[in-house]
Amino acid sequence: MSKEKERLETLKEYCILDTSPEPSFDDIVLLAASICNTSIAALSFVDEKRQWLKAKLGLSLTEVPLNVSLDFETILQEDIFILSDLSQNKRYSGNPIVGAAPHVRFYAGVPLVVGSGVAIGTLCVMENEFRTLSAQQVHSLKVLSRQVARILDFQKTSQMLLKSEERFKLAIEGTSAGLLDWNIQTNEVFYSDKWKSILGYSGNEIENHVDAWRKLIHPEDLGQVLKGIQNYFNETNKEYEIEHRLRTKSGEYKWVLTRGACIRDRSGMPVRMVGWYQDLTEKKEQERITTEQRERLISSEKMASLGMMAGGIAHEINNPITIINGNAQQIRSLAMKGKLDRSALLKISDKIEATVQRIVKIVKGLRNFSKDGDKDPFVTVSVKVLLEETIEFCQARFKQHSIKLIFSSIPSELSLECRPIPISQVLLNLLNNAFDAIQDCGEKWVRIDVESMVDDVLISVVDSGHGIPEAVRKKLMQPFFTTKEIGKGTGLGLSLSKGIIESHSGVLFLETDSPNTRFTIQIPKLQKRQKKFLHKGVRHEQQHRHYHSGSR
Amino acid sequence: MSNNTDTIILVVDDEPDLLSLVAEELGMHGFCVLSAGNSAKALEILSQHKVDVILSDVRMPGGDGVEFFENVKKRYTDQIPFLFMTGFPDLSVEEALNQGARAMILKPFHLNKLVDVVKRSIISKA
Repeated sequence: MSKEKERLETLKEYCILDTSPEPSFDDIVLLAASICNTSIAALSFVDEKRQWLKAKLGLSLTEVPLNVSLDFETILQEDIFILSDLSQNKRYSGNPIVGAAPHVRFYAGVPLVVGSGVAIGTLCVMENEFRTLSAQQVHSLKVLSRQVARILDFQKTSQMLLKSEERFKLAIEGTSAGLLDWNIQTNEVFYSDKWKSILGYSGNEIENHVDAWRKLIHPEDLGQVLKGIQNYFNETNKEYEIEHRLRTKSGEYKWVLTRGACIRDRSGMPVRMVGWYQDLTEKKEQERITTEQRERLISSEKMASLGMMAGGIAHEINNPITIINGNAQQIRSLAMKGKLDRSALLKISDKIEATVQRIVKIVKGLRNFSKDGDKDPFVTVSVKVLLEETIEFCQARFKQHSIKLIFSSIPSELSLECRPIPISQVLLNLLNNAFDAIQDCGEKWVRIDVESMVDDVLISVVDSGHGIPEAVRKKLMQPFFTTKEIGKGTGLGLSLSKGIIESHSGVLFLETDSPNTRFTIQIPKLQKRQKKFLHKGVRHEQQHRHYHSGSR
Repeated sequence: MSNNTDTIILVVDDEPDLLSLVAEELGMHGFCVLSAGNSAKALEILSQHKVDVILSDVRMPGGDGVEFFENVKKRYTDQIPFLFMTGFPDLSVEEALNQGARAMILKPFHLNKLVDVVKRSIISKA
């Protein structure tokens, strides 16, 4: 920034141009004239077009154009500027007070250098005849100009304070937070109107004392609040921020979030604290609703998969029952006709027995799913058996839709320490997702791959689909995210599955380098050893395949 | 009973034991029974024979009973009475009933009852 530009900006900050006369400046002008023994004196400020007179003696005009301004010259000189005989100087003959009345001949001006070191105006004395100034007079004029600069600086600071106070006031009025300003030494407190109105109080219903506040804090929360303040004061905590309850005028309690900051004296003792609080009623209510909705949805997801299973089970069981029923009728009908011979009876009873066995098997498998397995103990199971039992539940559905279910060979000795029911539920969820995902594929198959690593077992569910779009991947494991049609999925399946696998210290992920869609669960074979590894925090990075933690 | 011999009934179910049981029972009541293990086979039979009543399972591999019903409706405008046999009547079956399927027989059913429903559907057709 050029020097002149900086000067003009500074002048603007002082907000003095075109203001009314002020006695303190008028007095200074009088004093300057008296010291220098002149009949004319002025205090002027110079902007980009003119010099403007804030205070004057012996002059009637208020402005002088810049090109003939003596004061502007003084500013450029940066020191006292004296012209003893202006009649000898053609340059200023156009100046209205030189060329015309009062026909100034003598001029002495001192720049007004304000706080930042910039000259924004001058203090000058003039006379309509030749004059000189003694060293003493020059010195006094300079002292006086410094005094003017100090007054200007003081005024500017006061104005700024006033403005910031106004802003603060506006902020207090505008904010949705209730404010208090606590003088810690006297315990006097200013409570903002908002502070009172949130609690249903108005005007002077709250005494300006810290006790008024203390009395409103819920008795159960008081200890915590006082401790919070104490910890902040003695600098155990860097912040004061506490959620607690305050009593309203009607006697109910409101949840609020209080924050505060204090001012300390030189020894670090807090002397003043400003605190503000926010009404949390709405937020708390929102939290409660969200939790409730989430719980409801989780249970509806369980209900949905239960419903889907119920359909399958009804079909699976009602078919054999119909057969048995029919067999009984056959016996009756044969007996009525007297045709029930030994071979017919044996043939039919064989059929009944075989059909009953079918039902027994279904019910046995069903028992595994009927209870919540989240708190089951960890047991060691054969991976092969676990998978075979899981597939029982969806095989019929796959068969019905002509989807090939491929099983790679699994070593029968491979075992896994887990909660079998939840793990089975996860696998079933992955299989069902695969089932839904490939409905529109030309080629329909789902394959289960099992791989044994040193410490872990990897079980992958691969389908004939061609992976999952990048945009979807990121959101896969998020609760409530679904790509299924409205009403077909709640989007909780994968997030619940992820939770189950993580409770086994394992991971569930989508493999991104596979040509087909491939979800894999990686679980440690032994739970205890796994925990030890996790504490060391080394295993995950080392043994993982390249994966993306997303879902469907 | 003898007048039933002119009536051809198509039974569709993927459960062989059930299929033969139903076929035997209907045969004993004098109906002429054609049976199919899936809907594709059933459609093939329909293209070769003039069937009077269709009795079909809902959950079957290779296209379910409701789809089969819709196919039949599209291809045979003369409205062959269509009866469902199902162990789990879901919304799609109810919808099919609204769309003109004649009845839904819940499994497990009594064979006599099945025969009654079949007979009634023939009478209402005539």
